[in-house]
Amino acid sequence: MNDTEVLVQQLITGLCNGMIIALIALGYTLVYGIIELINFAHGDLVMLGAFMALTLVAFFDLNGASSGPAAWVGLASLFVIVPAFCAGVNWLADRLAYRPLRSAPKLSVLVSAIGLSFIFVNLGLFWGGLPLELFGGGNAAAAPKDFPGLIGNTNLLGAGNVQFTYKDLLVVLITLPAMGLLTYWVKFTTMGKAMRAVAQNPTAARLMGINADRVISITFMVGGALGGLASVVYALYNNTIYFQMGYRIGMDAFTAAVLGGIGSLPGAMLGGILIGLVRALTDQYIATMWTNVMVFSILILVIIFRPSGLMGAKVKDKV
Amino acid sequence: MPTTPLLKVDSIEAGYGPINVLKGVSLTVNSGEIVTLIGANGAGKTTTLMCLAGIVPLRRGEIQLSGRGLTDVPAHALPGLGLALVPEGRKIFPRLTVLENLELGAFSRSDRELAPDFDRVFSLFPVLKERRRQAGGTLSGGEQQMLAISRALMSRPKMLLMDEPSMGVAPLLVEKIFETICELNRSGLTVLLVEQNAHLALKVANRAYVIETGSITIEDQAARLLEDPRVQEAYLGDI
Ligand SMILES: Nc1ncnc2c1ncn2[C@@H]1O[C@H](COP(=O)(O)OP(=O)(O)O)[C@@H](O)[C@H]1O
Ligand SMILES: [Mg+2]
Repeated sequence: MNDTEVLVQQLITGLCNGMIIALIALGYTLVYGIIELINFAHGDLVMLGAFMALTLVAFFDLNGASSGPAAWVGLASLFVIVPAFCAGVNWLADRLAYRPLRSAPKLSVLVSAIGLSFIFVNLGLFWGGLPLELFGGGNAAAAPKDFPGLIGNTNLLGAGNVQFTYKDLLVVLITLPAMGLLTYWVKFTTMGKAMRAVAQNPTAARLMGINADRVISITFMVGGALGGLASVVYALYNNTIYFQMGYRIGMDAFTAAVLGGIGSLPGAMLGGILIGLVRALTDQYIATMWTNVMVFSILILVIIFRPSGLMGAKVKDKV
Repeated sequence: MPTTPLLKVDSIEAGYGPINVLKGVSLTVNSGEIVTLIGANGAGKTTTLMCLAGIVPLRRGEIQLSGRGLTDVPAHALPGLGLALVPEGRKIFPRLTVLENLELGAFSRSDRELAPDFDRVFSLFPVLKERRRQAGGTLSGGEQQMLAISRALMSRPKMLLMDEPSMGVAPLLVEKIFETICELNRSGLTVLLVEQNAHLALKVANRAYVIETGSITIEDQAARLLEDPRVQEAYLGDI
């Protein structure tokens, strides 16, 4: 591989990981946009989604050698069931942990989110200890689990050095339409407009006949579903899941959301892709041991020097 | 001939925290009227309207719209029953366009045939048509007030509550807005108008109430209150 090929390869890897991060960052930014809560449990929700995906893989008896219509249906069902599962869990999280605190100080809700994150992590640990073959037969709950390579590694660019595989293609084919649909939903549907209205002025939204609690529930479900989609793509792309993965992936996504401007949807998408690229390029050109440091440094620098992020430039509201 | 008033407010109490701001406010608004509620800053005018709109919880007393009790009706169900509020400070959605603001005004309606309603508000306030693709937050104070009124009209209310429509609006536009209120009233809309500019309010209203520290102290025909020395001294002094 020559220098250019190395660079191109890292850009591809960075973009693909970045688009997964972006899907998760959208969950942070949607919830922040509507109730100004940093939902610290969101990364761990994605982890639970990944365990759900692995459980389904066991249930459908899928593995790298699976083929035929049944395997395709099983694979496709991951993309439906896991997002639905994560949407449901996120809805429940709001109902049980956040909604009762709607008029409490922001810090209370934040602490509630951190508590929920611990609960999710421990649920993941418990889940990983289930006596399933795929989970290691209940012996090592905390051990990383192999996620079968259901998507091939064939290079779509032929025999060259630079690889763009079916897995990379999968990431693009799932994440881009999801982001497009979300953008359409928020911009053009009545419910999307109601969501923006609640975010901008909840009292005025209620005066319009909008049930703010319902809109907030729906926002959590949409954010959860995007997280669930990210769970499946992440697992299929990286082929390893573990109960603490939500922390790392959540940190990346949260940083992405802040970098893009928390509350801004295009910001979360851009931020996700940038963080993916930064990770890949740091891995390659500096050293993997510095990658997390790099991400944290970006987080700190953005918070200090540009808290509104790249795209979160606040329009000054006239009173 | 006693008919059911469109809005009947009976000894309501409401407030924030431990304090009752409203200490038993009663008033009625009959179909087709413009009724104004005047009073000094902090008297409880906004609290009254916010309580009628379901935003500030009702602690005691009763509110009826066309004879139907509203005690257990959540705020978001009220526009569907024909009650709309143009809130104090307008509360426009600043990062939604004028059109989107208007569309959300019709959120409570089951039909999506909004074209006639857009035509209606654009003929009332042509400037909104020019600005329809602009973000609400970029409008001037007066334009935002027109948008707030239009947004409320999009729900096709029977009863419109208005909180200080003249606040922060240039004098020329205040005149235009009050003319529009009268025009809307002539076409059948019932209005409960809160104003600090008592002179202006009493000139357009049929009847008026004066509120002082959470209680109604005077109730009369608006024209009579304009001549009432108590009102002149307290609220019309500097005009
Ligand atoms: N959100 C609030 N929280 C606490 N007190 C409030 C709030 N809004 C108004 N008040 C108090 O309630 C009283 C009545 O206020 P308000 O209804 O806004 O009066 P008005 O509209 O007549 O000027 C005032 O003493 C005011 O300080
Ligand atoms: Mg007021």
